[in-house]
Amino acid sequence: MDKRIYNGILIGILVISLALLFFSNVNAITGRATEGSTYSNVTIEKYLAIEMSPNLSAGIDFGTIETLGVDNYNATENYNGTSNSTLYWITVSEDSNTAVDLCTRANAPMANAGGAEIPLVNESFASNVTVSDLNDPSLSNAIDYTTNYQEGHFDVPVGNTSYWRFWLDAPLGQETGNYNNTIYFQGSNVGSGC
Amino acid sequence: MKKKVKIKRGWMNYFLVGIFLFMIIFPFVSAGVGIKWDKESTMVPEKTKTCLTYFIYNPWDNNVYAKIELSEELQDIIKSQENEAKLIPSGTSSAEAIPVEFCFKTPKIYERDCWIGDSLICKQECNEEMKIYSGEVLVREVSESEFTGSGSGGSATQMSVSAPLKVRVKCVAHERNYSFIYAVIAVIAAILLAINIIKEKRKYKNVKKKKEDGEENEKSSDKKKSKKKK
Repeated sequence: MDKRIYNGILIGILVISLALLFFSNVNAITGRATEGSTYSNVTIEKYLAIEMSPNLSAGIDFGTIETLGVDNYNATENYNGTSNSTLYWITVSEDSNTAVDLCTRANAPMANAGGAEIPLVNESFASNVTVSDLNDPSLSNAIDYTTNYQEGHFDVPVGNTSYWRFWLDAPLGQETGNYNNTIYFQGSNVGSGC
Repeated sequence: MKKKVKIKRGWMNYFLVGIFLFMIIFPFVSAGVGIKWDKESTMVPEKTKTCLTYFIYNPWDNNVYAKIELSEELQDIIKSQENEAKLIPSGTSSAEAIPVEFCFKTPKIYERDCWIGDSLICKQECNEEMKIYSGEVLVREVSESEFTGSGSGGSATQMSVSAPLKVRVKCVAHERNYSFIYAVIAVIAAILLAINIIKEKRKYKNVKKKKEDGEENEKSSDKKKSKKKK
């Protein structure tokens, strides 16, 4: 074959390959627009802030239990507020634009340095009230802690306070020691659940 | 003079007692934090890095340290995350909220039909269901006890606020991509063409050289002939 023809064929193949390479990687080739359009936009914002009371921030202290076999032992600040109200509370800031669902969970059972545990079913809480007195939050509404988030107080309105109480069962035969765990509180916009 | 020193010492003692009391009372301050967001879902193609911005604020009376985290459901797709606790000054309203960005990269999820290996001459049909990662973005208040450690018994407490987030991983369907074949053909054609051109150039040079040599030989033989004639 004449070398000129051979080179011409090679150039042709090269050009076609490059063209195919280009067009297979160009997704859209736009044509002439025949429609007019305008821009419509809206941004929907949500914001919420919650605050724990000083006593709740400091932790839930059950003091020293000297007699075992006690059920529903009160946390130290359960009734220390005015009119025997609780000093454990969470407030939803006025600077929020949505009501708040409050959820709570424990990281693990309370355990001492030696690894002995008080099972989580022995630690409980009650909430669901925006006013606290001697009766509320009530032990009759107590819920045992688990390691999963569960409903604490749903739909707390903006600017309101959710009051909480905590109890602990210390079963007979429980090993002595300092028992600790961590309790989490989470606030999310109403309807989110836990 | 001595009296003045005594008075000063007296005030100093009160001052120290005041500081001591403040240090005792300080752990019993309330703690709070807020989150502001304007996006609850995002649609991202697979293997794509995306960054989202959330805003942290603190309308309360005490400074707090807070950090942004993702719930377990979203942990699979995290690529990078600012993990340092940020100081959110007291009185920071939602309007002055501090932006915090976090980034993630969506993993490869959907199956592709490839002729060579895992990524050459592939087509994607997107017959699978869309993968959705559903979880929460958390702003967690970092309490004093986390910095210093708490020695007392009972339950430590921690607080967070959250915003829901759905990450939908988009599957981009496409026909088989023959780019690799086109590229290989183009490269082969270019190499062959280059070889031909180089060969021709060399040939042309050789012919030219031979021509020049021939001319020189002719000239020299002509000179010899003319000398003989003389």
